[in-house]
Amino acid sequence: MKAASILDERIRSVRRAIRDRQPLQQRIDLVRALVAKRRGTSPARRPGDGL
Amino acid sequence: MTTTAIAPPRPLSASAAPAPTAPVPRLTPQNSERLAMGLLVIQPSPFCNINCDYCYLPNRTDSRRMDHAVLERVMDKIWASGLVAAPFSLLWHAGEPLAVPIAWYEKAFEIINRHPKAKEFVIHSVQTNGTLINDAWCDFLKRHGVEVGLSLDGPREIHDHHRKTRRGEGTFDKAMRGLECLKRNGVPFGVVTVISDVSVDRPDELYEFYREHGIDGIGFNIEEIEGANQSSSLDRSGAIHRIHAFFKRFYERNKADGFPLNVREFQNAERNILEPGWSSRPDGDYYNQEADPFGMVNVDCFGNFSSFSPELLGQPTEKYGSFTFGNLLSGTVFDATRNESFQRVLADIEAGNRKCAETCQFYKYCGGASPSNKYYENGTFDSTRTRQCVSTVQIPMRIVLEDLENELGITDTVPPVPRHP
Repeated sequence: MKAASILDERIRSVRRAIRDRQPLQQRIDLVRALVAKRRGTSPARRPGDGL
Repeated sequence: MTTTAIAPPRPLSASAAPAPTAPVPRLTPQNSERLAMGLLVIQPSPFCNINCDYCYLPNRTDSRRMDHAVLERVMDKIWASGLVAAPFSLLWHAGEPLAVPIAWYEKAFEIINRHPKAKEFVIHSVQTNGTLINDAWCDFLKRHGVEVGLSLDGPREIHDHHRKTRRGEGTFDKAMRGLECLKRNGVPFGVVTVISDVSVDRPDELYEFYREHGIDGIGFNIEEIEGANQSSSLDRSGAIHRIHAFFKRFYERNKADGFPLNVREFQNAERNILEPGWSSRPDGDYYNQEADPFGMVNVDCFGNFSSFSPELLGQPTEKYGSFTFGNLLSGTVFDATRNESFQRVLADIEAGNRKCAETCQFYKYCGGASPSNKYYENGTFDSTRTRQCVSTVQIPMRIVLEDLENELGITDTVPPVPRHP
């Protein structure tokens, strides 16, 4: 693996670690908000819509 | 709870998961009428025609059968209780429920359907090992719209490792004949697979097996320490990590193919995340039917009944005495509230759930999970974390949430790590 790829993976890993330390509810609220924004109002997931 | 049946959420002000500071009044026959039942489990016989080595049920060689007169009294008491406020699932569960002849069920359904509300309120389901399914059973199941849960652990080598006859022979061929019979007759079904030591590291084999055989509805039960099953093949350390890896890989395979398989654990996780209130009580907390007094009523072939997790029915304990809270031939459902064992179980379930509410960020999405797992894993209902709740609630939610975050690019909203030149 190239040095840049290793660094990218380490960056992603740190970001994941930061995200995973956030409270569950905060993460869910953010997901709900972004999904609702993408779809208008309905947050229900549909097959094939990229989510 | 080990079936595919998921009863619809119902509006209800129950007491099983109180706010941490709210004292709950002691239930009595008088104040119990505000409750409602979502699942009625009936064991027409404790007998099972096979002998899985991880089964929690005692008395599986006892072939005694429920008299129709007992069923009639049981149903009269259920209807009269006031617990039926909305459609509920009637789950035929044993032993092996199809070891009881079709003729018995024809009469049983006729008895149940005598009640004017039966057609509207009763949703029949059955959990079967599939080995006795034939065209006649399929005709019966279709005619009565019975929802079918088939217990199948995967490919032959995995399935036959635990699911054997009393002579030690595998049951895979017979179960698969049952599956093919259901398909041939157009009877919809879901599969329940127990994940044990022999399958937890083989998600690809399981995934391919389901796809190959046209199985598209699956619920995973992690082999539990429960009742007669005093230990689990997953007791060794590292089990949670392996279970997480299993679910993650299975999810990835399913996603790569466009989610052709409906996996109960992921569906529940997704609904928890994307559909606020999909299984909520009016106060907004998750409605946990298993922890709700009389949310589930479980009746054996003699009319003895229990509540809370169906796995408790008929199990003897030192700590709580019997989990049999009464008999519907001689009393009513709410007579259970006069039973000291019932009150101790309820008090401990509520105490355990208060601790869950105070200490676990997943509480809002499980309502305290399964009381029977708390009891059998931790020795008391007044406890919190179990391997079952981590495996079937927390891990699927983490996987689905992380996938949604990645799809939505949320990873990128975290401030970037500074790069050095």
